[in-house]
Amino acid sequence: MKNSLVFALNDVDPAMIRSAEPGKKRLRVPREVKFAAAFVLVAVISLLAAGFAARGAIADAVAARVYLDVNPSFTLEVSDNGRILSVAASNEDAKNVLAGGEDEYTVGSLLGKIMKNGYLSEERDTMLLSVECEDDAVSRELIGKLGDDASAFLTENLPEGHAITQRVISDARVGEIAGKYGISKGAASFLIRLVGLKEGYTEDALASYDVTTLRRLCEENGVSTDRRIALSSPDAAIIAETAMRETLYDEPESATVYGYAEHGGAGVWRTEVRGSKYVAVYDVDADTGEVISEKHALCHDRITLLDAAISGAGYTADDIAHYDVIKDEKWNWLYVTIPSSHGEDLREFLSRDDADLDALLVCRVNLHTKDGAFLNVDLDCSTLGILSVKKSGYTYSIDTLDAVMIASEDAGLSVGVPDFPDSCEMADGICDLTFTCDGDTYHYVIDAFTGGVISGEKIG
Amino acid sequence: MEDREIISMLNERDERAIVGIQEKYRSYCRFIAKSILDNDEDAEECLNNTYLAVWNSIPPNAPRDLRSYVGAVCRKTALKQLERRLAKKRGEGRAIIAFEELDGVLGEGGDAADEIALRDALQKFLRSLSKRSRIVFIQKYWYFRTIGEIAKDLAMSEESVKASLFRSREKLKNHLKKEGFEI
Repeated sequence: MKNSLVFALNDVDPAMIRSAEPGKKRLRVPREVKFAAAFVLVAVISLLAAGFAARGAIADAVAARVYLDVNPSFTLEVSDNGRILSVAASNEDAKNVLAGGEDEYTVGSLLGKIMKNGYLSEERDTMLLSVECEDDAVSRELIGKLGDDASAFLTENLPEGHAITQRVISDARVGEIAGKYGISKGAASFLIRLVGLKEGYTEDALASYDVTTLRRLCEENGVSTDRRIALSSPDAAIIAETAMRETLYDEPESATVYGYAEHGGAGVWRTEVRGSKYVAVYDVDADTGEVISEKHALCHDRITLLDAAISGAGYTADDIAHYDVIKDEKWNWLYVTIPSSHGEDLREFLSRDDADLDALLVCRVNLHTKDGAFLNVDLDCSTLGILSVKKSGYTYSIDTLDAVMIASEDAGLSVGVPDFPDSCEMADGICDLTFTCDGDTYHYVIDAFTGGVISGEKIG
Repeated sequence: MEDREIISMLNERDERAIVGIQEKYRSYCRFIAKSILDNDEDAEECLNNTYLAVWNSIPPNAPRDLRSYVGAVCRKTALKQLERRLAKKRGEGRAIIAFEELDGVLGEGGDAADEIALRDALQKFLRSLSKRSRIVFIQKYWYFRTIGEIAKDLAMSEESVKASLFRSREKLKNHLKKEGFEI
């Protein structure tokens, strides 16, 4: 296994590799710089504090971005004590509302202006307040405070009105929807609750509705609107991992949050956790952090599955081609897909409400034997029973890349190879290759098992 | 060009995908290839081979993180190229030093099952390291950075980097022993 470690590193978690990328900005700074920075900071703070103290006020820092949607949409910058530091219009209606307005706003005064301009009425009686902030505690605090301010305004001015508060989901899909339809991330987080619930409830259709219509659709379909997404998705992953340790006594190896979903009457972060023995999906309540539902399936570790596949296919480990990374590496030389079940993507399968994990969970192992056979072995992940063994053809010891390299070396082309092969066909143990380099075209026939050149010539 | 557009073009066999990969990841791949091969000409050849290997492997592969995938393909291609060069005894480089250092940790031999177990064990080992030690280890043995370069990047002294690597290698040796590998 000489040099295997260097190659094995290629397959470790890409996130780890990315986080260690050279030149990446990190918080670490040299000690001298730290001291200097600390000194400068203290000096600046002292000066500022003295200045502000003289003026009787110290400016608040922006702690969160808050989206206020009625139909006019606004983006607010808010301090951690709930003070609105700035208000920006996010659409034309909002610009109308803010025209000639004051410098400082409260939630109440902003809603007052919206109402005065006719955007908040008995027909359009809903406002959505969405807090985007990485800090869980600050998010909860702001949702509570701003929500209370909005409710107080409505109680006084529009008693039948609705104030919906939520935390913006930190999910790539939300950003995508917001960008695509030109709506706020708050509105995007909200409409996700309804997508796919009924025929016609597409992102396209829902993005064109105002908040009042979306609320009504939620009510008609039994989707709760008073939900607060207080939990971040990384926290949900930690909760799901803990659940695996505590209930399945299995050590989690990875956790993936699929995204936000409506399930069991609650907003949840649906999270897949893979341990050494089990694969499980947890629905973690996005507000309380409680695990609402759990599904799991026993799935033996990869070595056990591999051994079972080899013996089940009637081979021994010795019959399987020796894995020499240096001389014979191939991307899919041997891999275990855990699990491809019922021809479906695992994620779709596990996410279905009716997914029966007591049913078969199938693992496919692809084996390349020393005599060149390529086998698909399907086995039951739980019992290790063989379900099917299919010989799907032969595998060759060279691939297209190898073929081009062999040919270019044979043709004496040392640098700049290859252009894309014009064609490369592997059949009956022969690789028939045509490629171009520096304007010259070459045709080669190569033994696909041994890599030996059978014939080669420059054809143009 | 977005990664998903590139992947969809690759699936449709549209060669513009390669232009997209070149535009986005050329400098990243060049950085990896140069670190391993220590030679501009070879690095350039490695880049061409990388694009071709990505073209040939997507589909069937469908990476979720294209940058990491292209980086891994490039690293693997460069190592393969380095191996060929070594066979012809064409010089030495920083990657070879890394090979030798890690060679000392494992014995010879091993089969496919060992390879898979090794990947798993390595993954566990990396998770067990502190963040700082992990970054140092990966920069040394994935990116093949020199001690001096790592020290500069992480604002550490060269001695601290060396000590960290030494401790990590010892830890790896013990970890692999515990996992049943022959040391």
